[in-house]
Amino acid sequence: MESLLTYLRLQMKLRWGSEESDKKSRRLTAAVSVVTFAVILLLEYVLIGVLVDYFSENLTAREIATAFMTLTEAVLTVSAIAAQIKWLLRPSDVQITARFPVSPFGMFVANLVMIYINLTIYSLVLTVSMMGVLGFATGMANLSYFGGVFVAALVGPVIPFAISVVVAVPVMFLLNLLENHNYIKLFIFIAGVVIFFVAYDYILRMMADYFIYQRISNENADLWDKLILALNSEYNPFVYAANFLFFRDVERSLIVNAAVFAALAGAGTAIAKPVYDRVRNRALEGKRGIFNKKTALTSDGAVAAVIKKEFKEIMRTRVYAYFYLGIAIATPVMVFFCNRLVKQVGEAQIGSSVAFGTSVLVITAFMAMINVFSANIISKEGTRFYLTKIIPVSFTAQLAIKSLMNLMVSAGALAISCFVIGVLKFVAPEQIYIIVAVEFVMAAGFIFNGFNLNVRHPYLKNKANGDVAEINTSIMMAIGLAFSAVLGGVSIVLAYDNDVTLIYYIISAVAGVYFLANAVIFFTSAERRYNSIEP
Amino acid sequence: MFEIIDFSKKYEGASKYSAYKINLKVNDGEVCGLVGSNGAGKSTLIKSMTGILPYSEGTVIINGYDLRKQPVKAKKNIGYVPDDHTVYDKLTGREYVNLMGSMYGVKKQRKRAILDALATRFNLTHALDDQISSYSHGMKQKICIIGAMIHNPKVWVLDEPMVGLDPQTMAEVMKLIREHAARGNSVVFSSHNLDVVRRVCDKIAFIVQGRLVSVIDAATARNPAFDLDAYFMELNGKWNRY
Repeated sequence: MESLLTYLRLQMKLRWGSEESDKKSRRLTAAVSVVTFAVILLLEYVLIGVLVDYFSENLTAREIATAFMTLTEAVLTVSAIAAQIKWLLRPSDVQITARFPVSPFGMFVANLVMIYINLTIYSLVLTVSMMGVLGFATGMANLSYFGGVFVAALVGPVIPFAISVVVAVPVMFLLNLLENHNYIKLFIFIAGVVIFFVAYDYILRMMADYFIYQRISNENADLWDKLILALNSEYNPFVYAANFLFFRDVERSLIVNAAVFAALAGAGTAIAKPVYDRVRNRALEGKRGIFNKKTALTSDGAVAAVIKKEFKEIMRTRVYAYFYLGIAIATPVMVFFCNRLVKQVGEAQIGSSVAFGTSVLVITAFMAMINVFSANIISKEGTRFYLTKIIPVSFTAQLAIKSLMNLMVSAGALAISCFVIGVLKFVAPEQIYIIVAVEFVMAAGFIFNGFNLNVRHPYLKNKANGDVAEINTSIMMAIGLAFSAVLGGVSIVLAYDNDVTLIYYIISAVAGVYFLANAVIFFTSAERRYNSIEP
Repeated sequence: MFEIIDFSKKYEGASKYSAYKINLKVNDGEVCGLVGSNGAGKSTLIKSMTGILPYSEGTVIINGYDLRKQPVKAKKNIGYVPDDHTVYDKLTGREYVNLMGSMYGVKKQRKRAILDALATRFNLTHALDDQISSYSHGMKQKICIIGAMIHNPKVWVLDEPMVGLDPQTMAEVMKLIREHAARGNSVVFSSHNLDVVRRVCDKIAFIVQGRLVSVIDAATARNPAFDLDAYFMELNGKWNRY
């Protein structure tokens, strides 16, 4: 028992322990966290305010609160499943923990306890902030309500945890089946991104309508009302956590929570324990033959070989593939939704002349998003960086090959995006050509800018698994969004009562200068800087 | 042939030289072993002469090309096996060798001939289509060796090549080194294993604290009356005082 508790304490330290850092950076981190949390609360307040205003016509505050509590519980359930898979079923530290004098069952229980504690923390943060804001928006906020919110936050993790114990095993098996089926995973990711954007667009359009016309013209209003009423049904297990918000039906809710917990967590533990043992043993023995692919030898030149290698790595590296190719492929869809939304707001406020500017704003942002990874192009090599130094291809040529690959992806995404906005007549036909030219130059500018940043500040200590964990990419994202705001802003503002050709000249000049400046820096200093990198 | 002339290397921000005033020449057909204790400067020297680390003092000549002035031509003549066997582990073994061959302009028939021969020799044929991330330490070392040999380099450089290899593979690598040199190429490798160095090398260079303190030939090293271990200890003891 004592070793089990020691193990639990160790796990807590590993997962939540703070790293040594100086006072200044601690203060900075704390300040950033407070500001971020305040911004999230503000956004929640605005969004929830709109939704409550919308739904309160036909529904009571209690019904709305129950629906929101269900949403919180759903988020907790997904977090719990992810935690089960990450900590219990795909543990990365088995090699270390196997040496501890704790039985596998002890570790299993300790991990479950960890997951539950983690979930309770999530629940407290999520439930208190969301339901607290909801209390103010619905006028229910009083001492009793906040007491209810606190109790509901504590009871909240019970059923999500129980569900996760049962669901995590099949989800993990499904994930294992998809392991190395990179095209399927990429397709699922893209579908996920698109669905997310459809939902995002739906909510934002609803809010835009509300702010512009002070009403919500949602064609599915009835459906929403019915859905919320359905979520209030006693067949929804999450209702029994929501009941604590109003201290309603407390005894029955306690019994249901306890019964569901006992049944699901008990059954789930019985299923998960043998799986955990197998997974643990496999992790200890090491994976063998996880990926097997017959490929033919070729007579490729260096350019084709590097491009093929880059694409293979992208497809086979989870994080990089999803955020690079996934975003690039999903860009036209996202451009469509964003364009439609921004145009809706812009035209209502300014007029149809805004369409060109909004298109520039949106497409520049997505070009930046796709090419943000150019700021990671050297760091991505990690400990294999030496290979780029020994091959008989000049560093400038190597980077140029990689820029060609990035440019090919950007050009594809840009062409389809422009085709979409052209076909749907978001902008005039001649403006499409201007957008294509400016954005292509901007994409090239972003790529060179990213390279220049990375060649100055490479981070090569990672294990080259494609993880993007460095400040260069964040800086590139900020630069990209700034250009999006500048180019889009200039195009929108000047569209009021100026000749549109002036706008074309200005944005072309900005894009041209940005590209040229970065290209000159690249071709004059990249080789020297690359050579001076000491891996 | 490769030659290092007055070579010195100081890492950025370091106060001391990691390699200082080194002169070394390895002729065609010769095998040279670099010997030194941990941190002596062997890897620094090897990484500099393959173009991985930048250097500002001295000259490195690879098969007649100055590494600093004609880096691409010089690198075409080098095959390098690193000490940590880090490669593109998302690729399969065959894909990696194919990539390395393409970098050096090797055609597919030639790639196939070399890959088949070396994979059979190293007993790696069964794993060529597996992702390298699933390879063991020794298998990674073998694929690195094949990748470095795919273009039949004039200068073959190996950093601690025997670490983690089984005795049979070790014997194969030693044989391969000798065969490569016998075809008129130069081989340089670093090692802590004095027995391997004695058996394989034509000359042995001793590095202590970044300085090349002694070079002896094979005849001396293999002389039963000469105690290589004691000589190494003596050099270390003597030069570490400076």
